[in-house]
Amino acid sequence: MMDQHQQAFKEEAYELLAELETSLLELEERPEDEEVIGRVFRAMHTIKGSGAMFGFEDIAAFTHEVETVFDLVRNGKIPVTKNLVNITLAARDQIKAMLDASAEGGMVDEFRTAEIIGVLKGMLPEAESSSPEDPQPAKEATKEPKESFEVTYRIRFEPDRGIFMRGINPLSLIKELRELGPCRVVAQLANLLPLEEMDAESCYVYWDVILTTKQGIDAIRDVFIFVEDDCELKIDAIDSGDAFGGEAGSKRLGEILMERGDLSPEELKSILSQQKKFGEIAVANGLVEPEKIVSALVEQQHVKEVRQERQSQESASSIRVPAEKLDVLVNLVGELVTVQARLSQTSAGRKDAELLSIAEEVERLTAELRDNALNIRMLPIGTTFSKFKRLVRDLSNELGKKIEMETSGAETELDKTVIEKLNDPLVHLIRNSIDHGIEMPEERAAAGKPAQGTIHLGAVHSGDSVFITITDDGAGLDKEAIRAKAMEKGLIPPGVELSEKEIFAQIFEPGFSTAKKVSSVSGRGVGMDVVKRAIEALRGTIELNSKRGEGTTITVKIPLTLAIIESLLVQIGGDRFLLPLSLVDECVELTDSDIEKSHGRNLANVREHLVPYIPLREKFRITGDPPEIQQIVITQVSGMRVGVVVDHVIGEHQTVIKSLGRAYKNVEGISGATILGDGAVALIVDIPQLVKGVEAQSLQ
Amino acid sequence: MGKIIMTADDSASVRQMVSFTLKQNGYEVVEAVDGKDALQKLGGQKVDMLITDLNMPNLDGIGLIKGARALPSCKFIPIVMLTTESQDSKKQEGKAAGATGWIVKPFKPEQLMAVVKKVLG
Amino acid sequence: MDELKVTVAKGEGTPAALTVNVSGPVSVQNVGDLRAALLQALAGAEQLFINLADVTEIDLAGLQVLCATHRSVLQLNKQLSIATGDNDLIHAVSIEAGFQRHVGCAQDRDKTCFWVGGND
Repeated sequence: MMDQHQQAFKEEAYELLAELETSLLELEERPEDEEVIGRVFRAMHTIKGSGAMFGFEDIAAFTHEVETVFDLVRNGKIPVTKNLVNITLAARDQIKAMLDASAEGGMVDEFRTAEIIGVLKGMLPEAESSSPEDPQPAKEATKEPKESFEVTYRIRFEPDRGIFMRGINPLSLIKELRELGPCRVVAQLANLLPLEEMDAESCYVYWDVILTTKQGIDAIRDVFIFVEDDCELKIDAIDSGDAFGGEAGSKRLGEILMERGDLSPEELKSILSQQKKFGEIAVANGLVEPEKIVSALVEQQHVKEVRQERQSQESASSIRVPAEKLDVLVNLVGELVTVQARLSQTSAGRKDAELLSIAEEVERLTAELRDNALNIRMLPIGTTFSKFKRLVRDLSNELGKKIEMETSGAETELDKTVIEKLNDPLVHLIRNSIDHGIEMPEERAAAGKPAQGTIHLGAVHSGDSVFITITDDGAGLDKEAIRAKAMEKGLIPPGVELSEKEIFAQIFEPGFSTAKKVSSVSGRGVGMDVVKRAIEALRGTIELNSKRGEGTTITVKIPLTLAIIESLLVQIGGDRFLLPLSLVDECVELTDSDIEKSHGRNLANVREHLVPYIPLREKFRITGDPPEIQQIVITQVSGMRVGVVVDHVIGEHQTVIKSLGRAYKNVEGISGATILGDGAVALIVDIPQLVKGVEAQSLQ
Repeated sequence: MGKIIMTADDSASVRQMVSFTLKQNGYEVVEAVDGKDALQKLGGQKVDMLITDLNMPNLDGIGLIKGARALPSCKFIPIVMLTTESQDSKKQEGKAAGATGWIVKPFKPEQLMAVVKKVLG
Repeated sequence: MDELKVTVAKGEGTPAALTVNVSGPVSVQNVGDLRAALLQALAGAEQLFINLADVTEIDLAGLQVLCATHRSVLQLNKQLSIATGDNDLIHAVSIEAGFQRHVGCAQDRDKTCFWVGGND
């Protein structure tokens, strides 16, 4: 992308250099011609400015010297001489040599560069030889997020009357302030004139803003960067969050007004001498506008609240602990759960009543410890929700759509690591809803919907999972378009009839995208397949429901924690495996005669519905013969029911997940392992991946 | 309905970069090669914002800003000038002519977008 | 883009009452027109109703004109009421702009300030 811009710059620079040559030759003949001088200056100026933007710093720096000289020529401070033209032509050739060198990777004669600069500098009058216009390094826009104390500021912002004429919207500045932290805004309307006297295009309002922020005063000044020279701007820190340095009591109303310059010390004294309510007297005596009092009261209130908030936070006496320490704790608990399982199993075989009761006690305590340890890492998901609100706002503005975001269940708790890993997939899903789901306001109006679309983001806790739903009231999915597209891409083999759910599941296949136009929002080359993979990596599932014209709901189901899962322990031959219980629907028997009836197609008839199954024994190449009656564990994968055939189902199991070593990372169909009560290792089956692998095989 | 932004710059490479960045962020872009071209196009088309270079042939940036502010459709739109000058004088001149803000060259796409978002609100 | 539309209608029964219906976006671009229309209406009525139910957009300049109208009404000892129907926009923008307050300005003798105590 940058290369493309660099190429454009080079082409342009060559063109400018050719023009420059002509201009310089003209200049030699007509040294007084200001139009030609202007042309030379502009050529240098453009080469310098654009060069610096596209990474040609050497050219920019060199050209800067020439430009400096011509700036003075332009202002009549240096005459055009034969010498000047000669050296400028030499400089032109040098710039060309530098461009050539950057294209072919050759070397530039740096001695020559220095020589030309020397001559050019010699032409400057004494006072000017320190260049008047140093190329300013691009100001880094990165604001260091200083993790500092929060400070409360009082900001009085009185814009110039003519601020509208400069295309500035004062309300958007106020909005920017609100983004810095909790904020109270009081517009002062005292300067406003009656209708007949006012100029509707002038700004009469000024503001008192009380803002509590951690970003520091520079962040506040940055908001006003384009107006600071032509407005009255006063920023004072009035309360710092320094836990111990805070001023004792709250300020009195009179004090605040005096600090703001709304009241003089003498006036203050005279009011205080009367023993009545301060505000009433001040207004009654006509010393202060009532709204100024209101504004001062707002400040008092804000500071009070911020302090209370801070105090309640402090008194909650939370301790900050590095996340790694918690990870260690959770791992240890995991080990303990494993050992406890062994203890229970061993004691059960001993018939020792005393040992049994100890084992039971240990089991109870371990379970409690486990829940508590996992709970510590739980965070409310709401923290990410607020980020999404911003995303929706910005994106819908960009696209000219009107979208409101609603959330529910922000207090639902999830493991911290899960929340972090959920962020990107959710961003992508929401982007998709904004871009492809919600229609433009006109389209919505034509369809008889409110112009404003709604995206609802909800989280609900259920069992050992959290359900996150993203619902939009947009156009919904076009089933036929998806089917056609999937056929075209070869994702659905010809002649296969799929259910609605299965068709919708196609959009999660790699290389699928139905958007006719690639917009900047969702057209970033990341497909829904990546989202699905990310969710599956969290051992979650994703499902989509949609009704044409009414909207789409995406449901993401995520296990509460990554460390311990409920699973179904099964046996094949001498090996034991674990199937995540969250995916399991039911278990049915599979007899030899059933297998015969299906003629080797691996399809079972469950209550008049055909369910395809995967014989794990075959899949994992386990030797020996299966028992007469096998078990099919039927699971839900991408809205499809798929069976997994095993010898025996042993029962539910609390599984502490151990990740496999790097060497086994890419083993298909296995996501991890655990240690069983008797010390044996059991592998955890990755059912979605397994199903995908079999699907791919059968398509070939 | 994306917002429309005009970029006026005699440097094709800057124009390309500005236009590319804006389009990538979902804006529609109208390009103009100098102040005169820009003013002509502004006469026939409504834009939501103008980004202009200061040094341009035919009509320079200051002239363009003054001309644009005189058009009823551009009286209150944000106008941002691209400037290499670190001297205040040009900035002041631009502001006096009615410029909303400025971006100092060289700048990165993120800086451009930060200013666009700021002034378009 | 929809445009600002201002229409003036005679109130029922009371000849000195006028209703000004405002619809579309009110912004600094067109607020001059709104001011002119309000001035004219104010000159011909003792009682002014401003209906903002169909306003789709309003900026600071728009809020200013509403406030200025109220001031003029107070000076002329006339009456003003502003209705927004179920349109929350004006209320939302006025909160954002910090216009909402507990007491009106010094001129607001009869406590009719539009920004006091919410949306009435």
